This record gives sequence, C-alpha cells and structure tokens, in this order.
Amino acid sequence: MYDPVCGIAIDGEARFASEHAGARYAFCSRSCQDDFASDPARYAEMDPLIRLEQVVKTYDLGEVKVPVLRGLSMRIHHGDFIAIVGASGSGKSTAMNIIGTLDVPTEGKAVIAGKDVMRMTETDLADLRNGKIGFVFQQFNLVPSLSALENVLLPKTLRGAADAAAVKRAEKLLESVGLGKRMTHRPSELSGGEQQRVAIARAFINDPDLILADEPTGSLDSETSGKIIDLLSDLWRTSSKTVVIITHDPQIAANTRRILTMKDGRLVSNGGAASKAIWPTA
Amino acid sequence: MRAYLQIILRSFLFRKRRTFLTVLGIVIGSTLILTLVLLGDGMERALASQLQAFGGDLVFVMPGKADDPLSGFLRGTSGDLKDEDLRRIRETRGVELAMGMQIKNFRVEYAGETEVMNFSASPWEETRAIFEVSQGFQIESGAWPTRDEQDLLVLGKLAASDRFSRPIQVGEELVVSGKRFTVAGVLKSLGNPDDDARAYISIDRFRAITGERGTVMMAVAQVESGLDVKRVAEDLQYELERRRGSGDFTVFTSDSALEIVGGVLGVVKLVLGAFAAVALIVGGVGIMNTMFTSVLERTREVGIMKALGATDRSILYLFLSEAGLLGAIGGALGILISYGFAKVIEFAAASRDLAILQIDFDPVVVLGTLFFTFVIGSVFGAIPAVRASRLHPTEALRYE
Ligand SMILES: Nc1ncnc2c1ncn2[C@@H]1O[C@H](COP(=O)(O)OP(=O)(O)OP(=O)(O)O)[C@@H](O)[C@H]1O
Ligand SMILES: [Mg+2]
Ligand SMILES: [Zn+2]
Repeated sequence: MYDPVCGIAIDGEARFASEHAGARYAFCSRSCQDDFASDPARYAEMDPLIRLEQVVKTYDLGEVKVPVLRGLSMRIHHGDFIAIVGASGSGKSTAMNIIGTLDVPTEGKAVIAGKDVMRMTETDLADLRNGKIGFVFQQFNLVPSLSALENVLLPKTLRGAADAAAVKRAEKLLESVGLGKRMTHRPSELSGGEQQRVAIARAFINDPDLILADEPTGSLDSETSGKIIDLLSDLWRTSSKTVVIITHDPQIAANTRRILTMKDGRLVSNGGAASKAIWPTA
Repeated sequence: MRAYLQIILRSFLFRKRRTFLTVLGIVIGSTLILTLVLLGDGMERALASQLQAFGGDLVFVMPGKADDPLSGFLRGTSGDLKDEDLRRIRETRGVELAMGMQIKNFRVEYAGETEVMNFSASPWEETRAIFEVSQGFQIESGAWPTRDEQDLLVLGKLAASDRFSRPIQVGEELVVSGKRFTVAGVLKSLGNPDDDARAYISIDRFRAITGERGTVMMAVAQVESGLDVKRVAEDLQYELERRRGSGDFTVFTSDSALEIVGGVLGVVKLVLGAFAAVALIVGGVGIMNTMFTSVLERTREVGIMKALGATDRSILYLFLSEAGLLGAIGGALGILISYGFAKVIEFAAASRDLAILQIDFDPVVVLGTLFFTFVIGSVFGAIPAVRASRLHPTEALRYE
C-alpha cells in the first residue's frame, strides 16, 4: 500500500489512516494525512502525474554494481510545486532522470503522465520528453552556437515545428523572463542568471505538464538565485504546471508546496515537514 | 534535413576556421575533377575541329617512331625523309599527289626592319593543289607562283599585315635570310593565327637558302577522291617500311592524329583524375576526423538535444547532414573555382582567336558535383554520426 499523497510505501500497521468514499488510505505522516483531508478528490480519484513504485537503479561499473535507488516510491500530483532535498549522493538526480525519462529503472515501476516508461520505445520516450517535460539544469545546458531565441526554439526545431507561431511564442517567453532585448545573444554573451532564464523559457516552449529543475540555482549567486526561484514560482502560480525543484537550499525548499526528502535512494517520511505554499487558486 | 539546417549552419559559423580547413580537401578534389571535365571536353572539341581543318583526305608522313609521335613534333625533326621515300609515296596506290615539306624560321628584312618568320616550303604546284583543295587556302591578292626556281613567296594574311609596321603589298621585295624575294600573293585568313602568320616558299628556294639537299621533314599525300584514307595510309606504311627496312617513321591522318592526341589527353585525364580521387578521399577522411572531434566536443549538446526530445534517429540525421553539408560546401567552392579557372582559360583562348574552346555552364555537372560531394561527406561522417546517435542522454549530459 502506498501513501496516496507522497507515494511512500506503507508496510504493516499504518499510524495515520483515513477513509474516503468507502476506501481506506494510509499515510506516512500527519502532514500527508492533513493534505489528503484538505482535498481528498485530488489524491484519491486522479492519477498522479508521476508514480514511482519500488524503483531500483543500479549502475553496473563492470566489477561492482552501485545501487543508487533502492526501492524508491514516490508520487507527484498534477499542478504541485515540489522540492526534492537530501544529502549529496542520495540519488536525487538519478530519480529526476527517471522522472524525466532520460533513463529507465533497473527494476520497479515508473508511470509518467499515464505512461509506463518500461513499456515505451526510445522514440516514445523522446516524444514524451519533447511534449510533456521541460528541463532546467544546474549547468544551464544551452547550445553554445545558438542564440537565446534559437535555444528557446530548439525543442520545436528538433521536430521541424519551428514555424512563425513558434517563433512568436519563443519571443513572448523570452520577454516574460525579462530577456526581450537579448534574443540574438549567444549563451557566452549572457550572464549565468540570464542563461538560466533562457533555459526556463526553453522549458516552457512546448507548454509541458512538468518542469524538472535540478539545482537550477546551484551555479548562481544568492541574489540571482532568489530571482530565478521567484520566476519559477511565479510561473508555477500562473500556469497549471507541475514544478519539481531539486535543491540543497532550505530556503528555496521552504517556499514550495511540499518537500520530499531522499536518503540512500529512498524517500524518507516527511513527518511534520510543513508544506508552506498553498495550491494556486486558479 | 531542413529543420536541422539552422542548427548545422550555426555550428559551422561557431567553428568557422575548422569548417574551412575541413572543407579544403573536398574543394581541391572537386576543383580538379571539374576542371578536368570542363576543360577536357572543351579541349577535345577544339582539337577535333582544328584537326578537321587539317584536311580529311590527307596522309602525313613524319620521321620518328610511331609510339612517340609527340617527340617528333617537339624535336622539330631533322629531315630524315629522302627524295627516294617521297617517290615511293607518290607511287603508292591511291595516292593522287604527294609533296615534301620543310618548316623553318628565317630572318626577314622589310622596310628597314628585321623580324623572324615561320616558313613552310614545298613545291608550288602541289602546294596549291593540296592546300587549296584540302585545307581551304585562297589567294586574296596576287597569284600563286608557278615556277619553283623563281624568287617568289606567298604570305599568310597576318604575315603580310601584322609583322612589320607597314603592311606588305603584293609586288614588294623582302630579304629572306639574305636573299631577295618578291611577294607574289597574300592569302585570305585561315582563321588560325599560327597558319596566318606563316610565309610560303618553294622547296627549291628553301634549299637555295639553306644549302640542304635531298631530305624533307614531312611528306603530305593527297588521297584519290572516293578512296578510304585509312586504307591508303596503311598501304603507305607498308611500302615505306619495305623501302627503308625499318619503322622509324610515322604515318598519320587527321583521324589518327585525333586518336593519338585524344589518347594523350586520356592519360592526362587519368592522372589528374587519380589526384582528384586522392584529394577527395583525403577530404573525406578530414571530414570524418572533424566529425569525430565535433561529436566528442558536443557530447553534452547531444545530451541536451536528447533531453529536449531528439530521437536517436534525428541525432543521426543531424550529424549525417552536417558531414554531408561539409562535403557539399567543398563541392560548391570547387564549382566556383573551377568555373573561374575555365572562364579565364576560355578568355585567354578567345583573345588568341581560339574561340572554339568554349566552356558551358552545365546544371547537370553542378548538381552532380553537389550531390556527389554531399554523399562523400555523409559516407565519411557515418561512423561519427552513429556514435553520436547512440550516446546515452544522461551520460552525455554528465560529460564535461
Ligand atoms: N552514471 C553513473 N555511473 C556510476 N555511478 C553513478 C552514475 N550516476 C550517478 N552515480 C552515483 O549515484 C549516486 C547518486 O548520484 P546522484 O547524482 O543521483 O546524487 P544526487 O543526490 O543528485 O547528489 P548531488 O546532490 O551531489 O547532486 C552517487 O554516488 C553517484 O556517484
Ligand atoms: Mg544531483
Ligand atoms: Zn507521505
């Protein structure tokens, strides 16, 4: 049985449990139970956007096998704003690669946007990434030879879909992240903060359901970090997107709606961890 | 392909110097091949029309081995054909007329100036019969001399009008190698500056000037009309060989001359073609090398594109097209350069009145070259492209 809110597997007798519409639900913590109670329909009736169950990821280094994820179970719901935290090496990025379908589990089940990734071809996974997921990386990961505008358009270009409407949308996005005057600049001509804004604009170009940001402020100073996080939370509030941020910064985590903590390749019960932000009213 | 064009062109611009250096080998290779194709065809056509003007019913006999005809020309062979050989030629079945010919430069004095002129010497009667009929010589003013022992000469159009500051008129006197000659006639232009700049005297006067006796450097035989020129040439070969007891001479017709020159051109083409092939292979290897470097350098970029939804196949096409375009850019530059070359040569030929050497802009050649160089590029870029397409997204993104 899995906690319907955070997805943690509940073995044996549950300390926190509720009834809803004739069914019984168990929770890892009071926090999850309270969350469920506040909006039971969202958790009980809708499929979560991301559902990992007993995911194992082992890196095979020839002589040794390195187990990184050891039975990770996790749920992320449509429209949520999540921070994933945890010690270095706890498997956050590995988990994000699986959520983002850049990698597949060694064992277990991963259902992303209703699709079981273990049953998808390479092309299907690429389509899923292109249409439903936007990535923001710590290293910005812009293509150095392309201008800001061309980078934002890249997901369209790769699909032969960079038409006039796409260009318009890319320009709008760049304006909305405050780079209306930097569109023709190459990444090397932009500051770190500006590059990350370009990356954020790019993540939104195909109007994805999910934005995945792995330490998006890890290479930025604290002032710029604050602005990037403000930008991401503004975009979350004004869109219906699900935003997942991996971070080491407790302050950033505290401003999301829910904090998921990882340890040794698994989620730890977020017993008591507050979810500060509220669901957007939109 | 069109979708990737922007990405590819940006990448070329981003690495301009490397792109240029990579393309160089293909530029050299395609320039060589195209110059060959363009000039080779033009040259063959020009030669054919020149040799046709030589007279299709004439057989030429020159001293020198048959397998070495060019060195005979180049050495300007000392007259090794005897009067006796000439007599045998005349007696060969199918020969209407035959004459011995000498070609030599003499100093010519006229109106206080001295110039060196090229002279052709042969007996007047046969000269007139053969040249008028077979090569289209026509007197513009004056008349052909009739008696060989008279000190008379005939001038080509340019020889009369261009060599001295004052044009030479019929009836005027020239001093050739110290002997006085009177101009009996001036020819109409033959359309070929070499022939038009020549002067003609009788073989008798030639011998009087030079003191040479009994030999000529070339014999020209006219074949009776209606007979097979090739057959008569074969008979001549046989007769002469019997008389001389060896084959140290060459018998050729305008057709066989064309064959020989064509053969030489063929060898030249083959050698240049081999160079071009090597240049193209070297160019292809250069593209492969650049693509390997490029894929390595852009590992992260491949990871990014995969994260953004590029499939393995689209990465493969992207890098294949990039390699192909490197080739085609080289091909395009090769086209420009070789047409430039060819036009310069055509212009040079035209300014020497050799308008026959004409280079045409052929869309089939242009498109063929672009296609061919694109294929070379993508074939040599295939292994790097496959390598790029197989990169694992997360590994590629971790690459520093
Ligand atoms: N491709 C790989 N091959 C071998 N080991 C790997 C590979 N990728 C990750 N690991 C290992 O897996 C463990 C978890 O890595 P991961 O990047 O998921 O951690 P993380 O929680 O994101 O850490 P950080 O906060 O430092 O980014 C680490 O010990 C790492 O060395
Ligand atoms: Mg990480
Ligand atoms: Zn929970």
